[in-house]
Amino acid sequence: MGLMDISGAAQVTSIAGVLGDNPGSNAIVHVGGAGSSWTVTQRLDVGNQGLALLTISDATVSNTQGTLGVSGSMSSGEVFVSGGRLPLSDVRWCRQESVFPDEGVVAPA
Amino acid sequence: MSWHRSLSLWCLPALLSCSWLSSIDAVAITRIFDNESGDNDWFNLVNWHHDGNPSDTDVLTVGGGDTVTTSQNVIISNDGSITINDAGTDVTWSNLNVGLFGVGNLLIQSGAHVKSFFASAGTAVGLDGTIVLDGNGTEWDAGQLITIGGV
Repeated sequence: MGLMDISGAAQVTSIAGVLGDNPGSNAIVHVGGAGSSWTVTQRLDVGNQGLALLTISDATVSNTQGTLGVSGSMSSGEVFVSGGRLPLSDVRWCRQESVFPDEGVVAPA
Repeated sequence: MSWHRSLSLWCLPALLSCSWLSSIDAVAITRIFDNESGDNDWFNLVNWHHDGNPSDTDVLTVGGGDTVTTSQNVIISNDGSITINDAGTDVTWSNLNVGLFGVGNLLIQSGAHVKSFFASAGTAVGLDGTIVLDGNGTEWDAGQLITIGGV
């Protein structure tokens, strides 16, 4: 199990992020609180063969490409946004292994 | 094989080859970085109180505005932990693995800054890695890739 919690206006940056990166793996990431953020300058995969949950509350997660629950029947990816911001202009979620900006957009719940 | 998996698998042998990687039954020691030598080196044993090379199972704390660097990998395992505190504290690692064996915890808080190249937490089933960041001004530049849950 991998856990990451970003709160209290803390800020994280990375070029890429993968949550739940092999069969049987579990990932839970929470980004919460005003000013808290995770900036992924390229691709964020939520559930890549494993199970992953990303929750955003009053915080910002941004990326330029991303996937939800890809690469295997046991893979699952979920994103919940509550009072936070997942800027759609920066996000292209889809269920394709190869992600391109025009393949699909899934609005956050 | 996806590009990020390739990167992660590339990192694992490097992490496992760390010369300082301690055994499963190593005794945890609480150490606080004091930079006694003045060289800011994470793996200079003189720079810790109690003196000694920081192990992956140790309980390590850095704070007070110290700058600490290493080009080596850092692993937190078997109930080991690292806490980075305070504004002005600046820590730079190469690759970071939290919970490579057993349980590992990383806390970055109170305005501290951390930089790494690759990072992962909870790298396999049954291995738990937790990363917590808290507080205004707290920043982590995680470099190429953060993998949470699985290599």
